[in-house]
Amino acid sequence: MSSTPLIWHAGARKEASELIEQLWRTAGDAVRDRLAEVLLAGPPEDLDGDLAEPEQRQARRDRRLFDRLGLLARDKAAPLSPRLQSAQNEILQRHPEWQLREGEQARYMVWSEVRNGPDTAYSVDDLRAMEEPQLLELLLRETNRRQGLLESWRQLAGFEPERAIRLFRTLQNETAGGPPDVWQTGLWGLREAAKSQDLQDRLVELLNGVPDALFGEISFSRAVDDFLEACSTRFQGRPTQVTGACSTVRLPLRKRIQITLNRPKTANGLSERSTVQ
Amino acid sequence: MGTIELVEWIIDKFDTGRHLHARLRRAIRERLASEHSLAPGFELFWRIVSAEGLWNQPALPRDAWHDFVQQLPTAAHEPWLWQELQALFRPHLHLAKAYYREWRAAITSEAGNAEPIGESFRTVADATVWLEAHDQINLIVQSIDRLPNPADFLAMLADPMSELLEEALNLYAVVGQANSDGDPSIIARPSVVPHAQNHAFQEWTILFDLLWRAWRHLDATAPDQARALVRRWRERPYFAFKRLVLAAMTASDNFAPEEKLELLISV
Repeated sequence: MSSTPLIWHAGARKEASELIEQLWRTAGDAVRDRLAEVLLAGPPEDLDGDLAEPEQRQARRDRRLFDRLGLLARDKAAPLSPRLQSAQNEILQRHPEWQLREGEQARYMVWSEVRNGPDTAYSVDDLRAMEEPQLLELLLRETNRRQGLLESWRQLAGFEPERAIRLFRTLQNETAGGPPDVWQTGLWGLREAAKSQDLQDRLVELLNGVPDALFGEISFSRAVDDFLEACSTRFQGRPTQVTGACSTVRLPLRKRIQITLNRPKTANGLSERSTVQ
Repeated sequence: MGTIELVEWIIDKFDTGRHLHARLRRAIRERLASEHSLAPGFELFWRIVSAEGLWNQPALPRDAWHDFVQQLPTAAHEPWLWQELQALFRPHLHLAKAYYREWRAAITSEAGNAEPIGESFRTVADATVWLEAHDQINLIVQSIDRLPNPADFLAMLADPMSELLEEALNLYAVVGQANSDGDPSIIARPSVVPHAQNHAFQEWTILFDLLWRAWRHLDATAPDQARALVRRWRERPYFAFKRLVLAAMTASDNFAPEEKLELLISV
């Protein structure tokens, strides 16, 4: 039987991190105080019993707490309490070189960059260096090793959300809203950035304006569905005036994607692409 | 029976769809009963391949998925069709030659003595869980997606799907890879919630996708049933279900923050 609480279990790091962040952001004082106590108490002593040296054990305990507090500190809407901040500062004094990994990676025990099929000729840095018309043209037309290109685009959207939104606005005016795979992978990449409510609202507004034809594509509708889910998870427990306002703008969006996700396919297995209202 | 060459010869036969004759299986079991010096890894291998149950091999014809896909649109509410779906998703153990041997040969000169072959199962064979419909699983899922209301269909099957996931983990437990503290989901399914990090290299992880969709639908439409499903997940003996419960409670408004915190600090 396991004796490691889920909050400290490396195998549940992704799921536990999201719940810790949610509780810190939205729970009442009693729950937040208890959560802070649990974090400050640190993991069970025997969790790092495989390390012989006390310094090594301390460093690993520090790292576990550092990673969890780092995720909380990143959310400017719910700053660390003075005690937690102080604990984080002490760890940073002992390990000034430590940094939290970027974006969603910080929640994962293992982060892999693997592509199905061939590699791409364009890395994230290549895409970063491009002017917007050039990037748009590439995403619209490139068919050679496209899977890899889209993976780089997904990462770019996560690193530079404002740029991704600008590109989406341009893409909106393309015939039928442009290729669904560009939207799909871009939306995947934006899930972490959409923690900012302002960005989230702008994106929802933008999605409300994309052509109906795009909503007829299951890959697009599913990506929007996943995006909305990721956003709504972050809004758990927020005051109703906040969630209420968001629901109002999201409802039409939800209706549009549900029509597509629930729509029977034609005999050849493709979605019917009639106008969706 | 204590030689890796014989093990790999058997694996080659399994790969071509062949299986041990009933008399050979019995002979192996008799030998296991009298042979006490066999290394544990070899013993487990022979236990698995000489088993009478169908958990070590596929049981359905390769094209069994085809009729299911044809019948689903008109029979989605028929109990016999649900049985067919469960049969197509039935997990079984698939054995392959151990990567360990290759790795061991490569590192021996640098790292000294490695674990002797036969000491544990991983040194003898690699075991992964396959589903009956194997490489046609995605076609089945696509046919479910084409139903008028796929979420309703999946929600109705939330418990059988949970059973299938538990059965997949039972099989990993046979080869010592799954218990309440860890299982292959940690690597094979980095995020319980659908995410680009889930590369779906292992087909059994599709069960997470289906269960997640079923859960979301229940949570939105039948909160009591959703809570009951989470309660049953909490009673299942594998770590993957703890992760499922964490993700489900995080995504739901139907649990109080106090309940969520208690889960976080539970073992």
